[in-house]
Amino acid sequence: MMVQVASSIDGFEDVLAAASTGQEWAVACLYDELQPALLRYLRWQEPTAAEDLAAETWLAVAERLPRFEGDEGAFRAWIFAIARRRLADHRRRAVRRRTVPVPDEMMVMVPAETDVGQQVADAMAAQQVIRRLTGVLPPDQAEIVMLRVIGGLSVEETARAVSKRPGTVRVLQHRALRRLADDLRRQSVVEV
Amino acid sequence: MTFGDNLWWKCNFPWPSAICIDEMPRNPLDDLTADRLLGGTLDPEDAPPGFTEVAALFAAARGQVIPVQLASRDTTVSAIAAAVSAAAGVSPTTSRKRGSSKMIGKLLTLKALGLALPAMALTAGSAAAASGALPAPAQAAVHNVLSHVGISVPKGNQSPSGKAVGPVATGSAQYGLCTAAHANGGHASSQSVAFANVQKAAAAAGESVQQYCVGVIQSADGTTGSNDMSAPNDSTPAGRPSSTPGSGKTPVTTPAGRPSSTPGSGKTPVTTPAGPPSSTPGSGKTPVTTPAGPPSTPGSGKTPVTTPAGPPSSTPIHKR
Repeated sequence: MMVQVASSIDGFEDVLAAASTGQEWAVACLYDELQPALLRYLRWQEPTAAEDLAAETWLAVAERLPRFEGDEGAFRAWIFAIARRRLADHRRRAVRRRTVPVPDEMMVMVPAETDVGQQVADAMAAQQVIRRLTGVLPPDQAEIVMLRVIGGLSVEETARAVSKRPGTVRVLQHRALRRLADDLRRQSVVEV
Repeated sequence: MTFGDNLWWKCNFPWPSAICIDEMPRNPLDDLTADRLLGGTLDPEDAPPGFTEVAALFAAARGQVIPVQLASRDTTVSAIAAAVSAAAGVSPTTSRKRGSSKMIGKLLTLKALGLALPAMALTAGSAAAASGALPAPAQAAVHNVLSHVGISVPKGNQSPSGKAVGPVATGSAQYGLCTAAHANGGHASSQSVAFANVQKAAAAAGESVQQYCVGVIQSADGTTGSNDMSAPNDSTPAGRPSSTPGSGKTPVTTPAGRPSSTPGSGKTPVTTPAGPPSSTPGSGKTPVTTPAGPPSTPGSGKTPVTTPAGPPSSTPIHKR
């Protein structure tokens, strides 16, 4: 069973074909669609290095895009799989403890016409929520939940990204959901 | 309920039923509901009892705004497009793409560059220090630092007692020292170690400095050398520099004449025939008749150093 969880790209095949030849409008379409989810996921994993990791991911995507074959779901899974590898490389390079600060760019990169205070408050709230969500879950369940919730991947796409079978992903997400529900019920956490 | 769930065992064995009833999830979650919950297509109010809070948390986590600076976004997209073009073998069609093709690499390498540059500086500095080519104070400092980590480099232009020794007046610096002394009328600063060496050499020859240096200069300018010019006691041949001393660069000008020997043959040419140059200036070859560095100037107030500023002519130059 597959539920399309993310907004899809109209005419993905055409966009992909154009992007594979380096046409900017098509690359921009893919970037705009996937970069926010990619950044959310990477910020959860490595808040201070998320931007660099996202850039490394896109560079790897650019190098291999002409040879990519697959649909939109496969493309999403492929990008997140690359991001996970870059993440693993990054952690191998520099072993450090995970911290969850609000990135500075959150303060300076917001468009001027938006409510800056609300944006920052939303971002901080989201970070706190993500911390709370992942804090009660084992790492494997937390990653599945994050890929599905903030990465916007389906079960099948998540399975491809983490190199597991879809059935395994379903089991892990069920356990994660039950654990979260139990934890919230115990702590009576209802404020968001 | 799945096979891997602990409750499966508890509820499928003859335990007291109260255990099973107490621990059974009150609201089992089917796959479709779980997918909708995780995918954000299920409103928290529509979530099964017990999962309303979970759905609300997911919605809040998903609500993080990722603001993107438009200028940064455009640059990145252009760089990605250019990288894709390069990977696909398609030539970028606009100069903007060409200009931005290096941008993403630039962005990615800035951090690495920040680490690499000090490392390169250290490496280059270490190479210079290892050859003793740094200025004396720097050389001494590097010597002190590296000695703590078990690396031995020359201490610098100092004798073991810490006293400067200056250039050997009968060696490669002979011509330069004598030229400077001669130009100064045979008088130079008494504090100049180099000039003291000239005085010693002249005294050893039983001549005054002026007489000694006139002989040296004449023999260097002539066709034969009589002051041990053909057998310098170091790797740098003595002779008249073909470029202006003090330029700080390795001379690339060619002596006005064909060298009497082939570079690398081990012989040092001492003649300067008025023939066509054998190489073009700037051809990248360093003529062996060219001193590797400017001669030190006695009386200039500076302590002369024995280490030439440039690479010796016998040392191959590796360019990266």
